[in-house]
Amino acid sequence: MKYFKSATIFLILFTILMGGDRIAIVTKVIGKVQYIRGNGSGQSLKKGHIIESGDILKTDKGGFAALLFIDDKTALKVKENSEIIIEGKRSAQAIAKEINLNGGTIRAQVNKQKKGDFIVRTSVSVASVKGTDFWLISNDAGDSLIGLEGMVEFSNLISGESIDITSGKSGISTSDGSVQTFKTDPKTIPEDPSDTDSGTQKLEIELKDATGKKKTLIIEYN
Amino acid sequence: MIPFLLSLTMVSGQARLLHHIPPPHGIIGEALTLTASSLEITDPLEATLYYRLPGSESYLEVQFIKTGFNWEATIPRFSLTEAGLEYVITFQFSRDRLNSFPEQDPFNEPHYLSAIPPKNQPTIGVFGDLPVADVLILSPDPGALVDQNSILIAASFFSANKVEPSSVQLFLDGVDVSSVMIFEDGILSYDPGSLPNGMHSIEIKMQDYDGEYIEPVNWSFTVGTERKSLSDIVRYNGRWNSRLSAENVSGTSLNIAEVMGNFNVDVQWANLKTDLRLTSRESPHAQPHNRFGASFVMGDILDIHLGDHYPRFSPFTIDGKRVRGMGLDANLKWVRLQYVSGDLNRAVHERGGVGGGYQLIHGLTSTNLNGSKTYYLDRTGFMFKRKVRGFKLSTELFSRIKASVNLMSVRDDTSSVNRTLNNAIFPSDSLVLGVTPGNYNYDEFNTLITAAGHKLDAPKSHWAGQKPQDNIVFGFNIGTIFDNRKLTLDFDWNMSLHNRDIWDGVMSIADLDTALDDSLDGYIGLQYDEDGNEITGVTKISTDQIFIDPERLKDLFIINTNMSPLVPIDLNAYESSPISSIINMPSSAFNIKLRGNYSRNSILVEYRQIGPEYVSLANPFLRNNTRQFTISDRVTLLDRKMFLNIGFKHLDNKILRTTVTPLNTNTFFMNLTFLMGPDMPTFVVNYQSIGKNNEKTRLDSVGSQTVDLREDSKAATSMMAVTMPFTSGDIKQNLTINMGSVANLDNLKNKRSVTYLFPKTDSKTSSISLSSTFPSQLKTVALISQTKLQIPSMSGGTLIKTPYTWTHVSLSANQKLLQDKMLARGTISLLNSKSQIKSQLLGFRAGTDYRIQENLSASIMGQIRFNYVSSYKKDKVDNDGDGKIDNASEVLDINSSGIILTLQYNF
Repeated sequence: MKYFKSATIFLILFTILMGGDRIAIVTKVIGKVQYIRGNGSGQSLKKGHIIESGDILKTDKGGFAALLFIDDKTALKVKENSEIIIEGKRSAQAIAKEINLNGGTIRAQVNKQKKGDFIVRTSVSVASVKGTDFWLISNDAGDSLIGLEGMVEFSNLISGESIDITSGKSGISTSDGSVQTFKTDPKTIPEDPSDTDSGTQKLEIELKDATGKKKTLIIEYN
Repeated sequence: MIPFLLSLTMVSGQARLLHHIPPPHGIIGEALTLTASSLEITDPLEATLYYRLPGSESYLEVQFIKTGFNWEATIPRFSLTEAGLEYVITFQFSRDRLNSFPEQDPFNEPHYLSAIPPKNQPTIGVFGDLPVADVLILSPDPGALVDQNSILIAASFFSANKVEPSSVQLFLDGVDVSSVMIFEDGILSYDPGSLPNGMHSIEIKMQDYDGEYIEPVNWSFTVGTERKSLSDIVRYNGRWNSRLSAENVSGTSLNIAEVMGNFNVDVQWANLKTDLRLTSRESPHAQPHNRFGASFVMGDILDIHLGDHYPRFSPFTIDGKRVRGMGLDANLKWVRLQYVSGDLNRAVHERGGVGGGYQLIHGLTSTNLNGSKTYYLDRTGFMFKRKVRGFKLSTELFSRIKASVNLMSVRDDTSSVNRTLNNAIFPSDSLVLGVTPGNYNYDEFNTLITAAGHKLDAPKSHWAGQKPQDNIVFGFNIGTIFDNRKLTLDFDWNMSLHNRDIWDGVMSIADLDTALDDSLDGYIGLQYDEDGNEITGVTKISTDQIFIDPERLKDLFIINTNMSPLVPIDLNAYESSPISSIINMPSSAFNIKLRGNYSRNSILVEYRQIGPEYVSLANPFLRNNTRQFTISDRVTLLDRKMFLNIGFKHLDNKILRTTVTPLNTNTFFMNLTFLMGPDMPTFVVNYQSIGKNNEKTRLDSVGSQTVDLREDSKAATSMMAVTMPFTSGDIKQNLTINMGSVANLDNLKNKRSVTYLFPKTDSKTSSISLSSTFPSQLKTVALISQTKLQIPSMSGGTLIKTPYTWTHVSLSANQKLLQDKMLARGTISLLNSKSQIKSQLLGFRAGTDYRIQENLSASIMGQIRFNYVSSYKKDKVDNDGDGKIDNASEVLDINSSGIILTLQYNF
């Protein structure tokens, strides 16, 4: 029994040391997207890649990545020129998720959380939700949160102020500690690449010869 | 599995037999074609396969189709479940003569057929659905439209902690891609690359840590670019099949043309399905052979059926009987309504054809005062339209308690049959005075008989044949699930009211008053002596106590003296033992069923009782006056490679205390199936022992003679089948050996007279089959089989057992040609029959299937069979009726020939 306990402890420690919990899977990648794990260098992110807690994702210009958390199918979409650290702590029931946005634009479609809130942090703000759909755009001037569904508690880390952002509303949190809310201008809502497929449009022309044999001419264009 | 079906025929018309060798087993989820042969000269009028789940009360029917040598019927794939099935084959001949398999008491002791899982396929639990794992579909979303280059198949097993990771299999469009998928830490992913446009399906199969199968996860998605065309919203497909056969069997021509088709339209949120069968066998003189039906399905919420459909409420009401009309099934999760309205039978005015509508009944001829006669012309050969209406309302509460109530009414429509048939021909013989014997129609005969000074009585109702009936069944079901859904308990109770003759319609309360006595005194059953004083000790019921006016209920049920029960409960028995008398009401039926699913054991304990007066006209297979106790267990062993089904069943008819000599049937059954694995042998062993006794200890007297009606017998049925796949060079082969026997034992043999005929037939069957698949895509099946029967009969007061032996050898082959566009098929077979007459049948069968276009195919199949009877050459009889005795043509003749053409178009 003693050896069994020792082996178990060793295995647990080994697992902790060797890597984080596997918490999400990448379902779509457009353009150049890299991930960094531990002290390693950046590697190209591909569809089907499994995200471990602590992984860093970086998107270049034109890049896009979509991933799904494996406990509740919460979706996270990362637009171009963004950098995020994805963290999650697995328990038997759920994964407690936290995203650190170091700049850029993300969309979170958060399903109802079984354990804690879904948290997105930037250098100046914290967005905390149970279940909702929102965009968060972070840059040097501050953060902008656009509510699409449900409600997000949007807090400024400097002043401690917080506001609730609901559907159709936007919030701004700046480095001077202020937070304010206003009605969303539809023009400011970022385009979701996964809603418009890969951006490549297709024109399909079906041709049929005298014997009834069919051929399809496909023209792809941007 | 190799279908292990034989075709045997014999030319002797002495034996009235049906030949069928059952297959060793069916395969779960796969259709099974059964083949049978009539061993008689004449073809049956109707050949029917009845099948059901083991222990069910009612059978589903499939008509056999003649295919030259044999009759074939296919059991649909959804009927082959882990529980196996029971089936009966009947060949019906003229004058209601019936040949059946099994031969003895077939509907009570049907043949049990086990079903084995398909290779590498999970099985569906006999006691309900498989356990479900909480697998989260990540990508693609079910029903999603996915870009061709963005496909990723992913699912999460984060919450599916019962799943054994190594058991997870992934199928894309039915192809196992498990070897290339990634399954790590509860995340399944697979990048299939670019897939062709169109719909694709995904299936994840898995097992738990005990090796038990878990409900597979299925979903589909579409690859393509979004096009807002109608074809994206509306999808349709269908099949059109026409079949033309011209056959001649023993001089009798049989030409059949059939068109079958189905058409399905899917508009995403709803689905319309239509089915059609038109056949030249359709006749106004019989129940319909044509089928047409349509069903409209809205998700899981609503099903509407129009035309021919097969509703199932419960075994005690309607359980798959065809109804032509409307059916509705609205399922709102916690409440479900099923409704049916239509016809079980249509009206038939002259069964069997023109000439079957009238019959002179000489026994009812009366002599008038003036000496003239009144002849009775009865209306015969008809069937009333039988209407059915019913509903079942079910609810399920908290996923634990299920309850339902049901009501079903079936009534014959007396107005549906023509009272007079002007063109119907009927024969008149010399017993009719003054009318020349011959065939006449009604008007001609009436004119002639009137001219002869006689009268004709042709009643407009109350005909001697079938009586119009009325039936109502009502009941409830309650059930519960407990112990983590492993144990289910169900209780069904139903009661019927049945009126055997509604010609006279409903009785009024005044009619009831005088039904049992002649006095209209406000009492039913009250009788008086000669002085008008009440006779004491007689049960009397005041008409004031009748709280239901029969006339008010006539739309629901016709109450008159022909109904049963007149009194639903035995009042005398009620006083002494009320609970027993309620349970044993003769017009009630109930069922208590306990099912458990524990540690690879599927256990069933069931008690079922159907009272002697219980009738459901919508379920003609229900056998009343029975009570049955069943206990069985199906065990899976050796990592689901071995299945053992073992059980005991007791059946008797001791419901009424008045039953003096009840018939007891004790059945012990055992079925063992051992599937060693892919490309490994399969073993099936079946054994069934049926003991019957009727508790009679003495002989009966009929007039001055004594008859022996005692029953104490045992029938042991055993079957063993081994299938061995192996490879010889590049040839894949399957060898199947099958042996079976039926042995009957009369336990009273030593106590009976030597002249007693124990009328049960012993039989032995054995067969070897070898199927081979060659690299050139040639497939062959070689078959050798032998059946031996010992048919008892009396000859000169002595019991003899006449042996019949049939030996059958056949070789079948098929070969794909022309780049798989053509499939050529052929069979040569020889049947040697050895009984009182020796004969041989040599048959050839050949044909081809040809794919004309991608969705259009045609096939042609011809067959000819020669009959050789050597003894005809020396018997000094003109056997072929050509006026010559013992000539060469008597020895060899064409027994049957035929050609079948089919054309199929899929769209």
